[in-house]
Amino acid sequence: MKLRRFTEDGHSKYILLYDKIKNSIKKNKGNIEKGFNKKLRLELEVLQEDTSLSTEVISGKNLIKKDFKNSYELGLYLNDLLKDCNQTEIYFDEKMWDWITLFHFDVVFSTSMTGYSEHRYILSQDWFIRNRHLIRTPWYAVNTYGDSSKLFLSKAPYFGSDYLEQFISHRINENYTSSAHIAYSLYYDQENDRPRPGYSKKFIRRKNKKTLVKASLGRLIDKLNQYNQIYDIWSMSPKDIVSLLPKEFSELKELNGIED
Amino acid sequence: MSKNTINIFDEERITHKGEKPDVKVLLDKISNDGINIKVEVNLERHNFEENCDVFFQAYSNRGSGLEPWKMGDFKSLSNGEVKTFSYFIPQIDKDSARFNLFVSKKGNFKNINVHRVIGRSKIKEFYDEPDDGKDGNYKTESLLPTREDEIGTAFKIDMYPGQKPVLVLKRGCNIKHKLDNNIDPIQKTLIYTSALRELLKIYLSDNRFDDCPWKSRWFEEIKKKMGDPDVLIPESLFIYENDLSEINPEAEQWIEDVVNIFVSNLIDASGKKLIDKFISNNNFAADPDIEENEL
Repeated sequence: MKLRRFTEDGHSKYILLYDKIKNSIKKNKGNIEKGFNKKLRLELEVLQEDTSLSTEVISGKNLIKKDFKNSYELGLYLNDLLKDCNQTEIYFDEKMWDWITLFHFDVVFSTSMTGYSEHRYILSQDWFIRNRHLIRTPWYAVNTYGDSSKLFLSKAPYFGSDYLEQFISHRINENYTSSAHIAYSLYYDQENDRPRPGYSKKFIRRKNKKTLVKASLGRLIDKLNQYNQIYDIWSMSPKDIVSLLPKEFSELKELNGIED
Repeated sequence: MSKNTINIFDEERITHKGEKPDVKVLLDKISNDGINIKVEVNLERHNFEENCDVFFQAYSNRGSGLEPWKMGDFKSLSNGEVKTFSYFIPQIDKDSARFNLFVSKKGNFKNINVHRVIGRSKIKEFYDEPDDGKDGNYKTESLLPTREDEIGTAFKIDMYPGQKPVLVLKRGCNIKHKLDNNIDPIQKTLIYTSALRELLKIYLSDNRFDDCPWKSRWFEEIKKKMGDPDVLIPESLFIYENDLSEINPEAEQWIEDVVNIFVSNLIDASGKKLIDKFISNNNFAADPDIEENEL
């Protein structure tokens, strides 16, 4: 089916339907399988098939029903799907993003997931929660950070990622895209093709105390913010910025074969 | 305990306001998807090395910076002429736009190639003439700008005779972001309805504002928006008779009419009235949610 966007009426119906799904899961004490019952699945299918509630998007390609191993694969697919669209127009077009979510609902909604907040399925303009959307955010990450977004999108499409949440919540990373390349070079384990565990959180609780995690992603962002005050980091190469990092990062650099 | 500050190297200040500033940022045009600005630069009074690069960066008041634009080297921007640059800044509104002009010098630190910032101007507002309310340069200004502060209530109006009124919003609860970016029509309707009522009541009741240029500006704008130049602006919120005062019902009605035009009938880029968005958002508002473990 060609890319579409909800009409006002269609979008309202979708929002109301997700509200029903969410309330039903809540009533079933968080049991997604029981909450997302046959009746609601049917209602979803009817909404998916009703083309009167959406209109075609100019320059949009055809969407294909398929499985995605992780959010990165989904992001690559969406990036290709939307590459000919006017990027400014689609950037916050919630009616389009939510329609894609409805089309690929089975990709981002699973009984294996643990969270079911509406922000994952209904795009909010609010900066604090907009990046929780399970369809737009993989596109945004691939579109903005390219291959480095693999670090943030390694989980199944129906999961949020801690690396992503920790990274994207810092404003410096929105347009200073080299930060993602730096993070990828430090925290992505090429050998095992996965993000390195233990570095996504800046603080953890150890012996009931809030403890700083050395060389964590949060520490990297602290250093980038500091360098941004004294250096023109935009003109510097990511390699030179990594070289500036303090000793706490030495072990991580060594693990990744980066010269200290 | 005393606080020590270590000055690692000098960063020269580049001025953006006052008399003959080094840089002027002017709002040129507002469109649905961003703003067009003009930047005038003349750095001749500084002594940076000729090959240093000068960059201009736009960012939002919440910190998100666009990739800086290179304006040229210092030599080309310090030859006595004012150079003018035009930029389009996407997805930002005029009230949340901030700018950063900096001079970058190539150097070396512990055998690492670095680019140090040796001159900077952090620009929080568009260039404007002295703030006397009479200069006629209206197009860059909001008559009721917002500011965040540590206050007990969610919002309040800050008004002093001779100064532009400010809508103060409680810090740390995201109201300013939502208002400035038109995110939540419910909050916007409720806050501005109440704020504007209060502002007008003060202007019509406190005689310390009688000569305030901002009161005149507000009332001129109201006349324009009401579309009838002959409409009478009430002199006071009160009627005084035999040492007794009572509320002037005509003034009360006038306030309601103004609030209706300025807030309820406020039309967005797509032609929708604020009050209609308020109604539809209220009808579709979701139940208060419980935070999930997983985001």
